[in-house]
Amino acid sequence: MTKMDTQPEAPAADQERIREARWTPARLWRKGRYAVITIINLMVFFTIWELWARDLIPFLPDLHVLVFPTFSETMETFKIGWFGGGNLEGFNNKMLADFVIARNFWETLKVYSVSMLVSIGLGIPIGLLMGGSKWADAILSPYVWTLSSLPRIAIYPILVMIIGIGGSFKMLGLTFEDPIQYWIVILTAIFPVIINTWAGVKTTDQSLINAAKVFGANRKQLYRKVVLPFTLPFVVTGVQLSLSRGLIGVVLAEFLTGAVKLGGVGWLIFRSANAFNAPLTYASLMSLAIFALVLVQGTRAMEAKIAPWRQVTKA
Amino acid sequence: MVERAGNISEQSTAGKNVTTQNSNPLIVTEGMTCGYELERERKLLTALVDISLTVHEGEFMVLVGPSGCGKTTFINVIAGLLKPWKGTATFDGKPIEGTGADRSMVFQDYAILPWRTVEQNVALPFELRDLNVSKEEARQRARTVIQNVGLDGFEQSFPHELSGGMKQRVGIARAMVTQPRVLLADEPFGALDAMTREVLQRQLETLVMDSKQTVIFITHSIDEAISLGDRIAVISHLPGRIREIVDVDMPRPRLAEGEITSHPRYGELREHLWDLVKDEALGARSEPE
Repeated sequence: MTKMDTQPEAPAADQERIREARWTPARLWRKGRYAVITIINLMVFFTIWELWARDLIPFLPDLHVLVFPTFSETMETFKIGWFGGGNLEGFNNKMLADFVIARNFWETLKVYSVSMLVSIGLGIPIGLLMGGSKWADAILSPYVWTLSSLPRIAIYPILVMIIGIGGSFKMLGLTFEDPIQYWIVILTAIFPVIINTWAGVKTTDQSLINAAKVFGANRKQLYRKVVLPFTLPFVVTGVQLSLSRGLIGVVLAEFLTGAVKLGGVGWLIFRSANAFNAPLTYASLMSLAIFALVLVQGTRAMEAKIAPWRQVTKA
Repeated sequence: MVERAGNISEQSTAGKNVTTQNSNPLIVTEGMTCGYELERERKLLTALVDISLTVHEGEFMVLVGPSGCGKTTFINVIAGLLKPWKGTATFDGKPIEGTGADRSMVFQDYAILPWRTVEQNVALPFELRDLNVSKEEARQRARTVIQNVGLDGFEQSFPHELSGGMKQRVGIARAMVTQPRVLLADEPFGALDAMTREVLQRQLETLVMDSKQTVIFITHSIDEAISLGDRIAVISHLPGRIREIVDVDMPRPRLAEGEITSHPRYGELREHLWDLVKDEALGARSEPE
């Protein structure tokens, strides 16, 4: 083979074509304006909240302070709930204590992270198995599809009958309190992982498979070098979905059984709202929102890192 | 066509580069009938009927025909991806059973792995088959082919950063890196714009003339067939049969110097080929999808 003569797509050795862009104020504004807008937007939102709660905006309905606390009081509660150091004398509520949100959040995090690890750790292999083997697919798919379409909370009574509320479960030298909570989270979170992984395997580009075969791939290589990398971004999407499903699951689990032993953020929200402790409800909810936001944005960044070629096709 | 056959063998014995009718038959199919299963409709579709074709060592064989006539099925059989239903397909005297390092393929949709760099894509055949090539040598050979197809400087780029023409260069480099005995090309330039296609055609011709590469090339462009082929097998539609095998008795290089279309034989060949596919092409259009 000789060297092909022309190179139409190769970049010209032309220094003038690519130059550093300078940071002018106009450019800075163009790049940063959305961040600025977001900050102003949030400031306006919280200001309206504060004014509204103090009944200073005449055309908005007056909501009782028992159900609609001010922003400042919520933030104060948030601070005490997370970092302690509160002077609780001025507060007319008995539930608020130093670190109350942090403590409950820790309980939530334990149940959530363990259940998510189980969901992902089991969901991926099950999805791969179903995608790769027609037998496994035929045997497992009725259960997987039924359970994934069923509103998962409908099987809660069965779980209560079988597992019961409270109790504990020992494994690997660790004790898991109130195992029904783990079951609820796993059952809400595992199916997006299974189904997305399965879909990734099933939709692997036939021409990529043919190419790998032509160049000599055996079955094992076909999976390792083509099917798995192709499936990876699907798995990430599945994990993303299942992280937010799992969050629903864990809050739900705490609504139902949190009072028994563990508490948790979900329980704190539920309990404080029942006690008309509005600042604590709002502060707990805010904590949960921040956690969910960080989680989802984090996995989105992970997705962009793992499969840059998909970002381009999406754009 | 037949009366010119004498001319051709004269030319080839004189050491010219036109056809290679006298060299060894490398790929032989006899009475080959093949098709594939339409899984959703649960029907077996016969794509090719009774194909007897011989491709010689060093020959550039072009298959031309309307879309859906089974050209790809033929190339898939030669590649070892499909088994013929009836008849035989042999490579170097042995029946084709599965894929082999001696046959490489270039795909219409490139089929390069998006998560691998250009260099990793080109080196893939060495990873998949044990060809007694050390890691270092594989890398070296990949780099050389990448240079040969004009992609030097893009070794570490990912496919999504490349244009269509560059992606197909990766596809060609990957097919050539193991120095296969046959290069199978399934409409490799079909998805490219006209200018890029012309550049790549010229480069392919140079490549093939230098290395005496055996090629089976699928296209539905008559011009491309005449520009590149030593022989052109015209395939008819539904099911695919060989209508005629046409010798392209024109000297090489055809594309590198001057305008091939001004050659007097070009017009005659083009007209003849168009006559052969015209009814098919026009008929195929009126058929329901």
